[in-house]
Parts: sequence; C-alpha cells; structure tokens
Amino acid sequence: MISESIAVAIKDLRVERRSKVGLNQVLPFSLVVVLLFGFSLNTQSRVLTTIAPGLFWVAITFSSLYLISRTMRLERENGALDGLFLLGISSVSIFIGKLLALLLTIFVLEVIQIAAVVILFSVHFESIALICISTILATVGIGTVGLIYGSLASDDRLGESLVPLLVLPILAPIIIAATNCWSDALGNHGGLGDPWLVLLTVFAIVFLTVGVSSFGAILED
Amino acid sequence: MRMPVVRTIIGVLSLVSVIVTVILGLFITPPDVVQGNLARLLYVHPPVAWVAYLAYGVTSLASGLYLWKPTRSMRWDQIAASSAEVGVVFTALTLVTGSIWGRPAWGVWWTWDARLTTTAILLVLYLGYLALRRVQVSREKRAKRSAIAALIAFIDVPIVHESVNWWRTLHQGATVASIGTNSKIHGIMAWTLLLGFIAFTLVYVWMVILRYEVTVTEDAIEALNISAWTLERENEIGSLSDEIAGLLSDNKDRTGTSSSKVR
Repeated sequence: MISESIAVAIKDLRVERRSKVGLNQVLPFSLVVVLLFGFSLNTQSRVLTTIAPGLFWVAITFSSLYLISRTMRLERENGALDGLFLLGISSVSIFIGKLLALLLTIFVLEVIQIAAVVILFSVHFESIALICISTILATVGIGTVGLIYGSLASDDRLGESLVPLLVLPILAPIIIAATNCWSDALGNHGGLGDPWLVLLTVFAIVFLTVGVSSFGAILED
Repeated sequence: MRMPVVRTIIGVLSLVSVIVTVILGLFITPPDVVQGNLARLLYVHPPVAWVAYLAYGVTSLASGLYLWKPTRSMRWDQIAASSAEVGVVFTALTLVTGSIWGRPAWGVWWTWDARLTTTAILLVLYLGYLALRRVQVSREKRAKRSAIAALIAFIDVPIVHESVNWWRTLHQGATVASIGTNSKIHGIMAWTLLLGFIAFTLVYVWMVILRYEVTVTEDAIEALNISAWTLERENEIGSLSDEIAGLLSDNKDRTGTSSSKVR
C-alpha cells in the first residue's frame, strides 16, 4: 500500500512538474492576494503585522482551492481514475498518494508565502516550532477536507465551482485555530502546549479518518 | 392513515398553535422586568433555533440510514433533502430574529459570538449541501454523495462550535433546559415559550412532509420524463430502421431490374 501511495504521489508531482500550474498560476495568485491585502489596508505596517496571520491563512486557503480542484479534475479527465483502479491500486492508496502530493505542493507554496509575509508585513516569529507544527497540521486539515470535497463535486464544471462553497465553511475551525496559533507564535505567548494546536490535531485526525474511510465510497460510483 | 391526511392534520395543528403563541406572546404575557417588550421575541427565537438544529439532526440521521446498506432506500435521501431545506430556512430565521433582538439588547446587529458564528457557518454549510444536491448526476450518485457531505457537516459542527467557543463568547447560556428550576422564567411566560417550541416543531414536521411529497413527485416526473424520452428514441429508431429497410428493398428492386435489363 505504501509503495502504491508513493507511486500515485510521484505521478501527481510529475504532472505538476510538467504542467507547472502550481508554479505559474497558483503561486503568483497567492502573492497577488498578499499584495492586495497590503493595498487594501493602506500599508499601515503595524496593522499589517498584527493581522498577518489571518491574511496568510486566507491567502493559503484560497490558493489551495485551486490546487484541490485541479488534483481531482486530473483524475476525472480521460478516465484516468479508472486506469488507476484497473492497475489494482486501492482507493486508500489513491487517497494517501494524492494527499501527499497535494500537501507537498501546498507546503512549497507556504514556504514562499511565509517569506513574502515576513518581508512585506515586517513579521517577526518568536516561536518557530509553533509556527512549523501548526502550519503542518493546518495544511493536513486543508488538504484532507479539500481532497474529500474535490472528489465529491468533481464530476462536471458545475460541481467544480461548488468546491469553495463546500470546503470553506468546513475549514472555519482551521482558519480560526491556525490564525490563533500564529498570533501566539508572533507574540511569544504560545509554546507547543498551545490549546489551538490540540484543535488542529483533532481536526487533522478526524478528517484523515473520514477521508480514508469514505474516499472509496465516493470514488466507486 | 394516508400521508396527505396526516399532513393536513399537522398543518391545522401547527397553524392553531402558532396563532395561540402569537396571541399569548404579544398580548397576554407581561413585559419582562429588564427587557420590556423586547423579551417577546424570545417566544420565537429559541424555538426557531431548536427547529434548525432538529432539522440538521434529522438530515444527519437520514443520511446515515441511507449510507448503511441494510437500510439503504431513496426514501431516506428524500427525507434528508427535505429536512435540510427546511433547516436552512429556520437557520436563516434564527439569524434574523437573533439580529433583531441583538440590536436593542446588545447595541449591534451582529457580534462575533460563539453561537452566532456557529449558526452562520451552519447556514453556509447546509447551503453548500443543497447546492451539491443540484449537481446533475444520477439519483443514486447524488444520494450517496449528499449523504457523505451531510455526515461530514455533522462531524464538523461540534469542532466549529468548540473553536468559536474558545475564540469568543458573549451569548447568554441556555436558560430553557432548566425551565423547572430557573426563577428567571416562569408562569405564563414559560408556558408560552413551551408552546412556541411545540408550534414551531409542528410547523417543521408539516413543512418536511410537504417538501418530501414534492421531492417524491419531482423524482416521479423525472422518471416519467426519462421513460418518455426512451420511448420516443425507440420509436425514432423504429421508424428509422423501417425507412432504411424500405430504402434497401427499393435499392434491391432497382438493382434487380437493372440486372434483368443487362441480361
């Protein structure tokens, strides 16, 4: 199962490397969003520094929606998913493989976005460990929910445009918890015992379980 | 008893109970010591909110029953859809009545309080669920996907509630659950509130039955349309094949004549 998952992940990353959609479209989009926040908030650096965590997570969530819609569309096109099933790859392996590739892409996006936020909004992190762990957990949550809903609504164009409406309300706890974790890390009043980390962990575990158990049922029809 | 009869009886009962609640709430009950006439809105707001939660509970239960193979039936899907639709209406009503109450009581139409925020997220969650149901796929596929979406929403709601609860809290605690022992609400006011709960629950049941009947009819019409379309295509194919057969026999006659001419 592990080798199958890795094979699926490598396949997705290879598609990304060849098409460069993430690099050429999603990354510039997320940077533009951050710049627009700066314009709309009149570049008052003190305000921007305070609300940087929220802006970062909103930008990442919006950008991830692009990647989420795309990852499932790739499988629906030309019956690629049937091909995977014909190869005898289980739905759990497909789920884990696609999730790994999606997470890796979002992580790359986040690293660049963090650099942008640090430079543009004059952000200074006090607790790097809290930033790293909360970002990983929140990304797992976003990726998992995205993949589940991406596959639920990926049948046609109409369904695909639904993905943001379906995913964003579900992700509300992630946005709240990740933003608060980041605020704590910026203000140096949070450590690895931050209660928001617990919420992020619970969310990630719950939705990973839901994803692994329901992905087969979603795909089989 | 047949469904329309049950529906009519529940409809009449809900109408009567809503009218009695309105009369009691607006004219008979005394104004509140602190809030004055503003408290009259509370005969509507908590019952409406209760119905919204009840509706989503029913949707989740019906979705679970649909997904569970031994009880799988399109009926559960139709009930889940009907209940969710009514739930969305009542969630919107909860937010509207809450806002109307909040403006004079708290001084603002909206505040980022835990319960308000959870209810708002609940509204968009189920609006998404209803939108997902509109995606054009086969009935079985739609039923399965919406059932999974409803259950995910059901799992997400406690997490949402917990997160916004930690985030901020302003809304007053539950007062209705402890009605017997609570000295803040008593007598005719408590009874009116209780009647409000019964009245709006009856309205909910009536609306769900009505919506369920509409859904069943819609599905039946869809099935009829499909069979009519199939019949039409079959006839078309039949007439086309007749035409082709005719052309072929004409052609055969013609070649037969020409070959006889050659001979």
